Amino acid sequence: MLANEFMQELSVRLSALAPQERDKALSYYEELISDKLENGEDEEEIISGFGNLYELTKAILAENNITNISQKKSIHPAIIIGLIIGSPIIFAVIVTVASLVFALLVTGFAIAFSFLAIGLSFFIISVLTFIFSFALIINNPMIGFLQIGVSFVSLGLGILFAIAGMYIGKAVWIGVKFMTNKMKQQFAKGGNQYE
Amino acid sequence: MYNIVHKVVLNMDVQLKKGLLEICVLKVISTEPSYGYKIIGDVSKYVEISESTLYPILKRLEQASCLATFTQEYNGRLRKYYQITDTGRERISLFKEEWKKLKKIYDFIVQEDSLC
Repeated sequence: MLANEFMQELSVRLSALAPQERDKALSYYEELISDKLENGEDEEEIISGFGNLYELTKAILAENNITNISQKKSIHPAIIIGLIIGSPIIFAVIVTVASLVFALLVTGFAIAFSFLAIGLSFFIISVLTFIFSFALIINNPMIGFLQIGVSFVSLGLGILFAIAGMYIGKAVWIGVKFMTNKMKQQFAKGGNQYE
Repeated sequence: MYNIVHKVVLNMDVQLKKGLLEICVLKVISTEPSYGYKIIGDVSKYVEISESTLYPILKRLEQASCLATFTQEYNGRLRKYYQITDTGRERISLFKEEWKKLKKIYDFIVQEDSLC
């Protein structure tokens, strides 16, 4: 870290102090840096020699009886302005993305449901053709046996579609759970940034 | 149990060190006013002290009226000087008294050991 960066960070972290107190602390370190540089010390080494900024500022704040410190990461003002100006667009984008995701989910479940419905239909066909094939066999053996075959084919198709429907449904469900977990993580992380 | 004892000892050392450092800083400025960088250099000859440790000590001593500050120009910049006050000198005397008693106790303990 360079001296300027250090001094800026220090200034931000001491913002809880009264301006006079903060200036005193800043001048103290400025003076030290100048003296050390004059003595031929290396800028990076000087700054790293000061140690951990958090501990350093904690000590200074404690001396001024400020003990509950939340060292927020400072957000650059330009970013804040950008967010405010862009908020209508940002909002529109969020709504669009959310709608798309929702549409995908609905579609996924719809496909799963359709497959299950088709599977069920084939089951019904299979059962019905099987039952009525016996009557047919008596009248027309050839067609009767053909119908039995059809009933078995229907059974097979029914099973296939049912399994496919279940897998698709499961996949969409896992997708939903994954998304909600990720969103939970994002908000948890965002909260932790301010600790 | 060990952890509690260990922590108590560590905390004592921290408090002890803080007190010692304060007296060292006062001693260093008792002969003539000095500034941050020089104080650190002079105290470091006897006990470990960092820039970050010195600042709160100077603050505390000033609050306790043990030292006063003034600024003087040096090489085109302003340098802050710390000078001792009468209260500060009193504190050094108090410290010497306390440690005379401590030395008595130490001598007593050392004496006991040599008999074992």
